[in-house]
Amino acid sequence: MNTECRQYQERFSEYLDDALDDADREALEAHLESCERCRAELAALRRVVDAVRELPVLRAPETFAAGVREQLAARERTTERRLVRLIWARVLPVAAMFLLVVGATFLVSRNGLFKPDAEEPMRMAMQQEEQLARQAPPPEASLGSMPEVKSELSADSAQDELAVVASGESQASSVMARESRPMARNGGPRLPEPGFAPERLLGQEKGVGSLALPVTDAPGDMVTTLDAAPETDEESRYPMARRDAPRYRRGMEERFLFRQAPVGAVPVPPLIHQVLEVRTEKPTKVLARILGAANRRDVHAVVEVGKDGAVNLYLGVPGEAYTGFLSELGSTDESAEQELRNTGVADGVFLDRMVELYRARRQAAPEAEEQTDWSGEVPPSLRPGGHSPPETVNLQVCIRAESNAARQQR
Amino acid sequence: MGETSPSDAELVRRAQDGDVQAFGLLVERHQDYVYNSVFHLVGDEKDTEDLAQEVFVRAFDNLDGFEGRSKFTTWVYGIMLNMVRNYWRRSKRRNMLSLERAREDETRPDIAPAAETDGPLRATLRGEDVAAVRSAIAELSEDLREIIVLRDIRGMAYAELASVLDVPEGTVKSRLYRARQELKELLEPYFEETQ
Repeated sequence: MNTECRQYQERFSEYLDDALDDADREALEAHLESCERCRAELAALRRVVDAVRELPVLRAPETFAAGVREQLAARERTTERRLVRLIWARVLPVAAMFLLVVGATFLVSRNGLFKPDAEEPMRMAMQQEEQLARQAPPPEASLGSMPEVKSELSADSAQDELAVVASGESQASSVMARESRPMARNGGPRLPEPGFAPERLLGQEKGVGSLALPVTDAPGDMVTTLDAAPETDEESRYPMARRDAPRYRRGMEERFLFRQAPVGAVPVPPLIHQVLEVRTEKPTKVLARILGAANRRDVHAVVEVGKDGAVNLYLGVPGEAYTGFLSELGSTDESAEQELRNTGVADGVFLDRMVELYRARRQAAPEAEEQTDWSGEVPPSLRPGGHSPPETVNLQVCIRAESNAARQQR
Repeated sequence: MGETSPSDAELVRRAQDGDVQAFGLLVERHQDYVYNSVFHLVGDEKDTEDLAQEVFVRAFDNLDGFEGRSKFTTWVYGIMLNMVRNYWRRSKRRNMLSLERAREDETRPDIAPAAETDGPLRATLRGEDVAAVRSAIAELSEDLREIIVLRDIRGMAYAELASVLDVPEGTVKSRLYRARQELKELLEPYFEETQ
């Protein structure tokens, strides 16, 4: 084969794919007209290419998609177990403080309702906490020594009010906390005063309930959160929060940022405007979906495990994005029972409207589609006359595990 | 909701927000082409099903990392290639004589060929031609087999091929040329006999 023919034959493949520019194509076709050998070569190559292209497509078996779903479900069960373990491993050392103190409160302040041995649960809680301390955390999550905890009751303990004094190794990590949880008239929990403001120490706001955490720069003095938010200016709202937490390996854990709490520190969410109660058969799945939505929308989230096993998320959602975020939460689990309500600190037409719309959305009322675009923007009708959303809507999502059967019996 | 089918991009977005049903639609939409590609790359039908399913499982696991800079199919076929290459590394078998055994089961109807052709009217291959062509593909080296499957069986454009294979478009063209030349040499004796 001469050089000229070789050069043209090397372009046959592109010619068959119609990938030559006009000039090259015309030159090749001109050569073909005068070269029988190249015509034969092209015909042979075309035959092969056509034969491959004519191969019948082998269809996937009917069980294929089901097989994929099965594998995903198996992974989800594994991931749920891992996520639950992860939540307990990360949040429980901090949440154990709640369990410890709230459990103690129940026993001590409600005499007569419980067994006379008020010390037993305290001992059990302490033992549980010590067991947790012995579990191997990742190196950057070292808690150091466990705090020495004392439980005191204030003089007026008609409410579930208690003080916890915890001291760690360094003075910087000692905290004084008083938590008061009167139920709001509207039925929503009233949480302590907002923020991690270090200057708001106990004693300055008696009876209200505030949790003060000193700000330090010492290594390890960070707040434990399941934080779905990337780095933003939100950090100023949570001065204890550090954004240098390691990501985890592939899988569900990778979506969350973990940071480790200082000894005795308790995350304090700001005042809650609305509470979304979710009862579902798949609590961890719902949790993961909500955190996924939060992550995608740059919403800051804090997770804690309550004493009754309910998982609470505290979300700070930008007001302008609240409608859209709520609409995503509404689709997390169609089978779940979800109720959105305002708390005692909720104020304004906007939040009332959100409750109505959410209820309508869950009931798939047709008028809900007309009244709002649910696209993440506040409907114009809510803007005039002071109906704008707050700058940030603090939403608490309370996820409880409940089987569908149990719900129907209720 | 709109009446038209949602796009891949829309389904991906929903799946990333936790809508597993949306991901299921993506699986159903692309399963045949992924399955078919895997089959022609690895040749064993039993391994094909496991591998092809694993492609989608892996895609689901990594869905949060898909940022939409490429088409969803490009991304999925990239995953498929990685898994097939791992399979080749693990597998001691390098020839695909099982291709012919696998096609003994003719109970499942095949759908029309996926690849476009600009040639004359397509002639339906005879059964023995199908086996011969598949055997020839099986005899190609792995890198040439990949490009033949993705280009002439899956119908991928040059630019997408370059992206999936992570090579320049010039390499796509030259590799495709070599692959087709080699197939021609493998099949020429067969075609001469059957003419």
